[in-house]
Amino acid sequence: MHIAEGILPAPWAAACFVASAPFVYAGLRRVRTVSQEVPSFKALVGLMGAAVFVISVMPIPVPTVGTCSHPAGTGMAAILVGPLVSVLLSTIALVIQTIFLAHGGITTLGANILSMGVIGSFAGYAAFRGLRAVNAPFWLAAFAAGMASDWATYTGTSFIMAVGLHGDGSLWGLFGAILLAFVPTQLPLGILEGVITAGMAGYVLKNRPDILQQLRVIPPALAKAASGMAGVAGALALILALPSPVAAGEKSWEGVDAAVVGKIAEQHGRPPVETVFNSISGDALLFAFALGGAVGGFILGYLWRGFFQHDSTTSPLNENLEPGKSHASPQRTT
Amino acid sequence: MHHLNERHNIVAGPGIYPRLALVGTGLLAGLASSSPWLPAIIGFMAVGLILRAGVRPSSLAMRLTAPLFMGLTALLASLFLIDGAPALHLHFGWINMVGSEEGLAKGSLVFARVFNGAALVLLLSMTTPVTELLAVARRMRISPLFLELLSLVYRYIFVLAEEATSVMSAQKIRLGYHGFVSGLGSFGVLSGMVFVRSYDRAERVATAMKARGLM
Repeated sequence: MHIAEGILPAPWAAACFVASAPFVYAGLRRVRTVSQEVPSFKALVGLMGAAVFVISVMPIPVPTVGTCSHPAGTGMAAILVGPLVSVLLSTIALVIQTIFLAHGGITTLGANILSMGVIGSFAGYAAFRGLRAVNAPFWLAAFAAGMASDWATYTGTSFIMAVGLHGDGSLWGLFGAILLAFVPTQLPLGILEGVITAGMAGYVLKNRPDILQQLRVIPPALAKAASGMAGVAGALALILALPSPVAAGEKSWEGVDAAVVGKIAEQHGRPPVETVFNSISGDALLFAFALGGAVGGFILGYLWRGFFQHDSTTSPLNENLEPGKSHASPQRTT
Repeated sequence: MHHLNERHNIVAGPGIYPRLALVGTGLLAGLASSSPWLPAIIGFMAVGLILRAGVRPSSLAMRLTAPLFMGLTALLASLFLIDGAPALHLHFGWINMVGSEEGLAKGSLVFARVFNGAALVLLLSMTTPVTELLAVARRMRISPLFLELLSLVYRYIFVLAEEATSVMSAQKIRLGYHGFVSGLGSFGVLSGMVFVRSYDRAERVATAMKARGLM
């Protein structure tokens, strides 16, 4: 729902142009700067603008009013390409909608850029980044971005319309009335836009996380893995830095054998006795355990088939299935 | 989108500058007028020219619906929220609404301006090829980068819309959109697929542009 032609008085419409122009200029500068480093960025922005436009004109049902509406799409764009480029994409979308679909107006273009482009993009981006900064799940941050951008857009639209229309009446009274008029459609639509943004972001994260990494929406996998490794290393360092229970005293941390099994055995009149082979202890004992495990594992692995696999050549079942055929495998016979 | 503007018709005949002058003058006259009659008359004249150029009335009505709905909202808001001499009383059970004369005057002026603006913009867009509009914009020294992005977005809207429609058809065949919740899920996946395809296509477009020496 854009502000249509002729709704705003000329001075206020001009003021909205002046207020939104720096953001559009900053968006153009950003595209120009990035394009100098990455020449394909222009094509990416163009295609992404078309994608957001197409998604934003697809009808979605609004159950509270029994009609269809369409998402704004600015939250999506702000997540993917940042708020400044999102303002630029919104401007392009609004120009196309104004000229070819008569949605919005030429004189109210500045007001629509201000509400949908600037306020919507920055609200969506702030919600996404704010939630990601406190380690909220990706889908939740995307949901909040979609919802915040939609609601912020309509709050901005209501305020701009109220300033233009209030005349001698109360500005805040009219602002509240227009905002209230939007509530039946925009309150659920904001939630739906959040759900759709989360669904879209979740789909891309699941199937093509490389795109999100390239657009710097999520940190690179390597950095993520590195941070995970750093976490593990930190935890290990912490464990190693703790005072050793062995060093604290021989009796302070008894093993489960002595603490549980030994006590129960003593209670039942069968106290443990010294082992017969008690000649080695400490590191030598651990080495002996490791060596025994390795040798045992090697023997078990080498003779695995012989121990556990049934010989199919002598199986009566196989003979019944394929009579007259030899089931001997060449590998097995060698 | 209806490409009537590429046909030869009486409105497209005189060239783009007379058309721009006509639309610009009509818009300014509508905005400057303090009476709703002038913008309304200009709007009706624009509608007449659009229909005379061969646009189907249903297509025109569809595009006028959204701005007129917005205008109607502004008319009703002005009528019932601007104080003044009572002009209209409405009773809905316990709700008593009073519309003022001042509100009606201001609201009808806004509504007429909305109609005037929408009709004139549609007159321009439905009778002018987009390439001509972009050429004029370039001559008016609008940022070439902005126009380049605008033409890219405009070009690929149709391509991606077609892809989105075919993805939606495939989803429906596979029982997508069979309920409200399922519809939301399907729409999320559709959005994600459109986005991923646009990204992949952008890489191909960039390679093609580079090969042609455009980057």
